[in-house]
Amino acid sequence: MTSATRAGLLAAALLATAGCAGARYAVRADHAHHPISFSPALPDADGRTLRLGEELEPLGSFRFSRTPVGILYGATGTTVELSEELDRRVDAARGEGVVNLSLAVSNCATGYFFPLNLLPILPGCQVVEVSGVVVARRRSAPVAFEPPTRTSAASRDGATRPADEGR
Amino acid sequence: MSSLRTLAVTALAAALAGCYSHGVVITAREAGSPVLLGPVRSLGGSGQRAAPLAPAAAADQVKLSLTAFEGLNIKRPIATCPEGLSPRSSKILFYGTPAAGDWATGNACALAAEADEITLATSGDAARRVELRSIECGGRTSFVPCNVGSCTLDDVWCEIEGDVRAPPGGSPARQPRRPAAPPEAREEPPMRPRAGEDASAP
Repeated sequence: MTSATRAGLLAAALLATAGCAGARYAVRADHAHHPISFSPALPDADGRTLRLGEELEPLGSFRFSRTPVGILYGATGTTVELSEELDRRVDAARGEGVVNLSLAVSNCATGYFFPLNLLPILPGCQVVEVSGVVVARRRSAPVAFEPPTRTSAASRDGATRPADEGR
Repeated sequence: MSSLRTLAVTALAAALAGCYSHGVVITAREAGSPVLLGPVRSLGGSGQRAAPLAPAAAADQVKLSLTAFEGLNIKRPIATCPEGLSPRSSKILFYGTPAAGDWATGNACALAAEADEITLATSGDAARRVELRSIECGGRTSFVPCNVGSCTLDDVWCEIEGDVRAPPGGSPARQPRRPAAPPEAREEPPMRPRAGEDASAP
């Protein structure tokens, strides 16, 4: 085997092992107007921790997906900005925040098209499935529930949150 | 020849079916504290930013755990961080909790490349808040091996960075945590009267 042949085989091997279509991206929610948590807990204005099923009640769940695309074998970066969509989901449910946020990340099909995925210009992609639960504060804590009286009902109504209106 | 072709097609289909489902799931459903993404806002403030907290003291560290699962749709835990490091490849990185309350700089925890689930779990109410600064994910696919593992078609990874925050002097305002409600109670709480409704009405 000549050195030129050997170099050619080596180059082919390098190209083959490097030829992996893909994507890379940052997941952000920098402009969200509502608090977003991966856990079932959110802070209130006093710094207390409120939890789903206790001080927080679920108003609905959601699921949507994004597909970031990259070229150059995934070397190019992009950003998946979730703020607008999450705010829209919260506003639609008249909620106050999101808990139990979940991101499920997986590859999508474009990278499987061998030998096209050897080409650096073949777009690679990933699927980001976003799910969560829209919540709002309960009007009274479950364990601190007391029979409604004229006074307590009036004080609760005085503290009614905007999300309650019209429901 | 026909049976050989059938065998090859079956093997290819099985490989694709198993590998295509691989991925990473980031969740913190077992955490007792808020694990916040984006601007740190509080409930009830009409978008008001939550009061800033200092980095947690060492004694107030949140215990963060990461459990990875590997592929072919068999959810078999292969490693847990930060207790152990996987001897396999390090495509998925999770940054542990150094004493200063910032886990971006130390205790890198490496796990295998196949299907994984990242669970951010805080222990009780020891820390008041986890603020995620960055979540970066990526992946590549190829019929040519990109990675080392039982399945060479997928390479999915995520890097998470953030801070653990707590009130000054520990957690004086810590609330005693009630036992968690059963899942069905969490998902579907009993309906309560809303504003404008008469609580005593039948």
